[in-house]
Amino acid sequence: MVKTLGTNRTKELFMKKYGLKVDLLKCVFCGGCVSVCPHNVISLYDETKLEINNDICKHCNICTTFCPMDALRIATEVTEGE
Amino acid sequence: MNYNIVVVGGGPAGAMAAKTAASKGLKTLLIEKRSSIGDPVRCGEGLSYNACEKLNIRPKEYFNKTDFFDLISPGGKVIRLKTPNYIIDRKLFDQDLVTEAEDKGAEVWLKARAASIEKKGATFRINIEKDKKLIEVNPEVIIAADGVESTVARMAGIPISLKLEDIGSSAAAVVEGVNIERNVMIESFLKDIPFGYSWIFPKSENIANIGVGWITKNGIKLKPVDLLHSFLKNSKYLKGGRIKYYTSGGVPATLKIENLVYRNILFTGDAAHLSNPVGGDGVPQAMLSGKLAAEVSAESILQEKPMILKKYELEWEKATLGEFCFRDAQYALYILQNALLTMPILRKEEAIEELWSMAQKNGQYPFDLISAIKIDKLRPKLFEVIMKNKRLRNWAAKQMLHLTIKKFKSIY
Repeated sequence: MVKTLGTNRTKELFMKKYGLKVDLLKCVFCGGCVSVCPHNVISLYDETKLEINNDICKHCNICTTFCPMDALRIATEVTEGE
Repeated sequence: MNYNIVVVGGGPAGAMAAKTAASKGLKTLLIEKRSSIGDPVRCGEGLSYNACEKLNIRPKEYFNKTDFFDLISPGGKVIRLKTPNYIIDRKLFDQDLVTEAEDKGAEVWLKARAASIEKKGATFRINIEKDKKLIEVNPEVIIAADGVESTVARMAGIPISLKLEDIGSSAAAVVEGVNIERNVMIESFLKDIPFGYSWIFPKSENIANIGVGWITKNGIKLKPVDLLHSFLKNSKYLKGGRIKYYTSGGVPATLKIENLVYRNILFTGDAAHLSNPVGGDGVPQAMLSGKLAAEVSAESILQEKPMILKKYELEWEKATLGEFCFRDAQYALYILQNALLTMPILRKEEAIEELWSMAQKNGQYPFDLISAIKIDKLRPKLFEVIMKNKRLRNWAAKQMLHLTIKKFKSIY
């Protein structure tokens, strides 16, 4: 079989699986991550909805460093447990 | 649909702007993305007594007045300032402000958000999403009061995203069943952390707003929320406290954005980064800026002269130069904070202790640029910070000129 590693498709899948994740039990919807994100990945709709556009996330970890409630994670193989 | 002014955001800045604009007889619309005003709270809930006097805010039943303000250094030195403050309930406070705006005739839409902003000719118009419907509004002025995440700025293409060293990350909680003095507000500065403090603001006999916040720099692994929990577990006053709800959030700890006016968009409050970089307080600044923005917009709309909007920038500078003194305080505090942040941790702690002993002698706030310059350890760092940044250089030059003129006048 020919490996398709590195193609757009695999990259897309990787990003989807191992992207930025928010723990909605910890998040208090303060909007701080929206203002620190340099790529406009996160948007806040109302008090219960935080939308993350993982297609454009560069995994820079700025928002996870900022988050005061420790609610944001860049999911990796370890944290996913796969 | 047509409105003269659309205010985005129903916080103190937005409510004040809507109230002022509506009372001038303009057709005003305030939109808020949440389903109720002021909920969830993201604030330490302290409000300066002097600012209330200046902004004509009458104390309500949910205000708790404190007479003393204790500042504790990392080494344990205590300064007790006799400055009165109110500890408020931000949820009720914001709701009252919006109700006042509604009484004056402003229209308020909840669960409505700014979906997009389009440039049309020289001005911007706004598309509002409400109940899954897009409503196009073409106002003369848009007042952006949408807080630290400012969606309006993003959509208008203004780069205002904050660097990590320019935003304070704070975790706070309203805690019930703690043993505290109702009359004293406490800020205690943290050890081993580049720059941050914890606060205990009493809301009533046994309820307090307790929080920790610091500048997210230098890659500390610890999160504010972890430290908050360890405080609640270990401190003898706070032991056994029950967390009612969290009020965490991000605070801009930087200088105000360079242009408060962008075509027909006026920026106010946290969206304009007007908060105090050391203390993190921003409600009085937000309310003042909202009021000024609405006054200038009213003048511009009633006279049909869009160029008048530029006056908002000048009005803000004028209002904050004198007694209010926010602007100067912001520059001075920003310089001081950045100097302390870039110092090695041991030297920083020594410098802070010196600042505290100087303040103890004079009975004043310890973060004072004039006394900081007198400290040998700090002086070179302060100059370094000033020389690195163009805006700080200009500000310092202006201050020097001002001082020289003052001295000259006193001699002759």
